[in-house]
Amino acid sequence: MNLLELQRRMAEDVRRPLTEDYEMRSFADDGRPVADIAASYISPNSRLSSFERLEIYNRQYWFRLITAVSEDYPTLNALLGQKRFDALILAYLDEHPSTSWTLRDLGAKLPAFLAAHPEFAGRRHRLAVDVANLELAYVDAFDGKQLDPLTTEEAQAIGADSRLFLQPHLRLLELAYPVDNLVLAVKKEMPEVDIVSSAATHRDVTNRAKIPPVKRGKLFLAVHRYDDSVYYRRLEKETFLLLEGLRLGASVAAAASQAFAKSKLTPDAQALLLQQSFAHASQLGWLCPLPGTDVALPHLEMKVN
Amino acid sequence: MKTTTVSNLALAAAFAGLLGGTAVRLNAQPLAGHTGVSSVSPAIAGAIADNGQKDLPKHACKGQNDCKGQGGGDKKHAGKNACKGQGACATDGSKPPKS
Repeated sequence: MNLLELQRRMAEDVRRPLTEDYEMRSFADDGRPVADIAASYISPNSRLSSFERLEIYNRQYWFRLITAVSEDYPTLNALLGQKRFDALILAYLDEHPSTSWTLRDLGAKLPAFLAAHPEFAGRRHRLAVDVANLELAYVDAFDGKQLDPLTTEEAQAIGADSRLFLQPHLRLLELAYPVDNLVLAVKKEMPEVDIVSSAATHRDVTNRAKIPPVKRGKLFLAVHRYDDSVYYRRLEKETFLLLEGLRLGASVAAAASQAFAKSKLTPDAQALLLQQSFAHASQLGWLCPLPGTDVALPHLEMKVN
Repeated sequence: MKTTTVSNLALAAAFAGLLGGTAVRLNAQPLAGHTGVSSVSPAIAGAIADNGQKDLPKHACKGQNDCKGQGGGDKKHAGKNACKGQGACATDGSKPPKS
């Protein structure tokens, strides 16, 4: 066995999924005993067999991945309970194994995976999906890219047909439950050391945060970063639709029209809300010029009635 | 002139808000050497999500060879920060030094 063969051999063995009891499997996919495979390139010592020495690396690999995903979803962990959460993470990693040099994005597909697998959440499925989406949004807002927001000159050049770009770290969520309060409550209750979940370590869970009661209720939320902190800002439905329209590439006028298409607000109230929406968005630096453009965006001269 | 379904008055209000908000942000920027001073109120930014703990180790540890949460070693030491450097992760079967 040359070095390349040895590396490939060990990589395959280390990345082989664990048993439900977090132990190394006894047989490889091809039916060969893993003990024989381990003995073919790992020497035993007086205390550990080849299998046991390999198992340490196998378990560490998976525990590392499980922890990396788990620490991004502490509220989901608290909501589902340790057993269900562990099962979810293991199933998720089985379908979405690590393929990148960074662990940062390892849990990025967990909300979609959970949405497609209600069996992991039972009656609280929609609530769990909302929590997962919010916790993922936190991760994205935490270290998402930040562009230079509009300058005064750029803002002055904006017209009805102009298109704007939203800050990459801004996440817009339409939720069925007010999970922002839930996530904040759980975080507040959990000591920092506990936020780092350890699905794989079977730690004592008696200190796990309790989930406060939460009633179903539509929520439009912006998750964003300001001054190096992540914030949850609740939005009016029309503001959410406006920002979502801009994010999808609609012009200012088109996004505003879509936002108020089904609104029951009076024209005066619409104008006020539009003003406030743009004021807050620009104050928080959410609005940016389109990348690669020089401010001089085409715009329509507006005639104020 | 292009027809829109929102009134020109509403769009004018939108541009007024855009310009006003931009001016507020630029005027509120902290001076050099005074970064970290928040220039918006919680009413504008929303609820802070990280309890104001800006230096959490979250994410910073990912990809590093810290023992934290790796479950190395025996079941007693598995996943404990205390395992770091104590040999609980050792693969030769050696025992952690007694403190």
